Amino acid sequence: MIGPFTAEAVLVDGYAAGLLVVARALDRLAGRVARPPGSGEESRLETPPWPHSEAGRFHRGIALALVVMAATLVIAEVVRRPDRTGIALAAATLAAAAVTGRRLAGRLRATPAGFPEPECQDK
Amino acid sequence: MIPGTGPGTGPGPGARTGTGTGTGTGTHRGLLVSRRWIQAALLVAVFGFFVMGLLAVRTYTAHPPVPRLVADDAGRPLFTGRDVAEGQRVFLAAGLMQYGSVLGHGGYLGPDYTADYLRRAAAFALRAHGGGDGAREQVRQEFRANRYDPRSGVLTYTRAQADAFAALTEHYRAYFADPRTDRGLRPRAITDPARIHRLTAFLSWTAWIASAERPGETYSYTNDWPAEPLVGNTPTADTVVWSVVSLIALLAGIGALFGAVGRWGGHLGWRGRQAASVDFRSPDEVALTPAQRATAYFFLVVVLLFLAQTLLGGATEHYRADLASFFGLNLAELLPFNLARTWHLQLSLFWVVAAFLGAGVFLAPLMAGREPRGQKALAWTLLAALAVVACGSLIAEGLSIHGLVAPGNFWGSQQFEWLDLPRVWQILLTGGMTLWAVMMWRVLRTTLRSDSRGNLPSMFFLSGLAIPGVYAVGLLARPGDVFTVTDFWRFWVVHLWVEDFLELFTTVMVAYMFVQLGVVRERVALVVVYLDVILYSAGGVIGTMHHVYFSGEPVEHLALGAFFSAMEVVPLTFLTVEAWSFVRLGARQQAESRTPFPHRWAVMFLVAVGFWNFLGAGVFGFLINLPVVSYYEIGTGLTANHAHASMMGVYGMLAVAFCLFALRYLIPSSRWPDKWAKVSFWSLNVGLAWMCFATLLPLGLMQLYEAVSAGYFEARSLAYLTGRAVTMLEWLRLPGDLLFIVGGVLPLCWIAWLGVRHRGREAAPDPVTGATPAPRLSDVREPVDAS
Repeated sequence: MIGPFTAEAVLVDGYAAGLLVVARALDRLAGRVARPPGSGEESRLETPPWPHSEAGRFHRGIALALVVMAATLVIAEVVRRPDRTGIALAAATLAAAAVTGRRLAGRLRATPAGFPEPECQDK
Repeated sequence: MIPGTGPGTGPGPGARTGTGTGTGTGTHRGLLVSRRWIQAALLVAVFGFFVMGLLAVRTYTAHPPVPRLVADDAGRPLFTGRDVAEGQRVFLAAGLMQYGSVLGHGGYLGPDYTADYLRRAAAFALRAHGGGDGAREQVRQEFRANRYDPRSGVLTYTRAQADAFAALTEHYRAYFADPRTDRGLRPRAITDPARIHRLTAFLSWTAWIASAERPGETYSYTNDWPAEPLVGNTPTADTVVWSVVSLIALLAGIGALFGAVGRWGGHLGWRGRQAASVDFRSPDEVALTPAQRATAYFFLVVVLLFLAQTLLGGATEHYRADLASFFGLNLAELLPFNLARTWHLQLSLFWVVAAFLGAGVFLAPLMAGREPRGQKALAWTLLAALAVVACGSLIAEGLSIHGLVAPGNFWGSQQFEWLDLPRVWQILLTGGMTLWAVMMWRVLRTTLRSDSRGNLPSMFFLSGLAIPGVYAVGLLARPGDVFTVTDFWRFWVVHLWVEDFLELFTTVMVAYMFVQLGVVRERVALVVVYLDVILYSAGGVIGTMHHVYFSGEPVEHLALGAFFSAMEVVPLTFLTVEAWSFVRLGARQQAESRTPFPHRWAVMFLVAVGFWNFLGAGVFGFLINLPVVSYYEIGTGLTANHAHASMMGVYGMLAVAFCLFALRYLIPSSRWPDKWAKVSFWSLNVGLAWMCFATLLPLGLMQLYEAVSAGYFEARSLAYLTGRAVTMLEWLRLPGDLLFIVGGVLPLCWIAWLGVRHRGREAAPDPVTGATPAPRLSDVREPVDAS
């Protein structure tokens, strides 16, 4: 036990939190996103040239996958050991995952691949 | 269409230039870079291999002895040295190195049999001595005392050790004769009493070298591995000190790297063409040579092997989640865990290497500007040979594990982990790769004659020649030889061949791809190649020894392996830093090209390679590199984590990148399935990330914790691996693995099938010589006043 929590719950949630931190780091590495004009944010940032743009999208995609993994691990642990303190800890971690995931999903959508017009239509 | 540069023509003169290398015109092209690059590369490589030569001598002169006879203290024979050698063959032929491990090397489902025998024998002796503190000390002294007499060749076991040997022979008899399949082994895997006796002799010997102190030292032949309190095995001073030195080497190397990048960064790494613009040729305009068109079949075979490998990986993983059945089926009757894992590992090598060889066949004419007559027939011969070797060796491994082939059979069994294929197939595979090298020479010989030996064509040929050359070193690992010696040579293949020479070859290939596309000058690419040779050789050659810290080699292998392998992270860091330059290569040219860049997904797979190179090879590799960490984690989940992230993340993604590069020209633009290439890209990467972060990494960390806190024997036990927490993590892999196979591999099968169906445009051969001019992939428009 670590305080009121089981060691296993702390380890799982701690690991999940670590994944969220790595996800945020990958998001930073992915660089800036493009914003539509008049969004109330800073002036519109240009999309980096390809393949830089799509490399950034790749990093954001992996980051979002890490968030999903973090949430999955926490949920699996709660299902395996549904004790009250564990659920409370999991709820906090899942909330952080939800916030991070929502932000990352938005940034992923705002990160165009930036590939110039392809030769053929997507099939 | 650019005038004077119709499809199928070779490099032409004037301001609009092709991107072929070499001259092929009778004039000799000089070295494009300073001689100092060659000197530095040679110096580092020669130094590395000189040290490896010394370490080879030490391996042979200082390996643990195999006694002529092992007897009890009354002189009664227990087993002989020949029993140990034969027992090793039994161990290997039954696929036990793919089920469990010995001296830490092998599979991860079964126990480490060295640790298993050592624990059981020590516990037996403790009970025989009545238990208690006094008995514990007596057991520790008995096992650590080295009672081998080199003059007579006799090793004397104490009464307790001799009785333990008899008891464990019976234990392993019952273990391997078990008619059930609930351990993942086939039923009644080994029943012959003579083979059980020899197998136990081999395991007893490995346990002896793990506990008996090396003459003149206070630690065992294996540097006191595995951790076993009953015999007093704990990390040695060398294990701890060289771990610290390794860390310092890493920090110093990274610091030096950033200093060098800061000082000379403008001259190193990828720099795009500054003054020229590039027009990429539409793939529909590129007419291919006969051998290039034949590579369509190569890549179809590659992806089918990849598919088979992933399905077997799924089966292997399922054993770890549910030992009892495969969704109601008793898979272990026909496809036990060790056979599934053997094929999974062998296929990973086959499909990746086949992709590299196929890419070489595709790229070589582009380098030379022409393809000689007969190359297509050789390409077909090579493909057939690879298919025969792959099928033949897989069948032989199956027969061996099912006990249908005698141990040590030249035709049917070998079964070292990663070198599982029987020796006849190993020789034939070496021959096949040599045939490929001959094919490259046929295409490039004129270019090689007319170009400096330090330029890209020679670097390509020499790095290609190293593929069969270094692989052949694996033939020095022979079942029945002293395991310490076989492990030394085995890792020349597993590490040097895979992590260094294949790395060099693929760097040259990628460099050539971008030179052919015109986005980087040949001189810049050549600097990157030489830098790669220097950085990887500095750490990776001697760093090979980080695989054999505890295999019975003398302590200098541990020291040098720890120090130099830390520096392997340096080139990985450099490549990551340079990755952002790399991804910018195409940006400016893309903006100015009159035709779209045709290799979106090949480039994205190369971006993924950079990501996994740093994460899988660098971070996950260094995580297990320090001797003190490896001491507790060898043969556990963190090793599997590094292996999957680096082997698939780097070489797998590279292989797919090469396939897509070539397939882009084999499939008409109107048929190019861009959407499925995108689906495959995302599915493979997210699936691999899931595999690592959802299962392998957390499981590995848990298992490491268990090894340190409870014991290595406990952490490797089936009781631990089938515990509920571990089982939950294993099942959590399912979504990622399904995504990887269904979303990642199946689309590649479709794309490769389209390549076979269409096979690109055919170039017309020269009616006189029969040679076919190679296509140009781009046209570089140099400004009129460029100097």
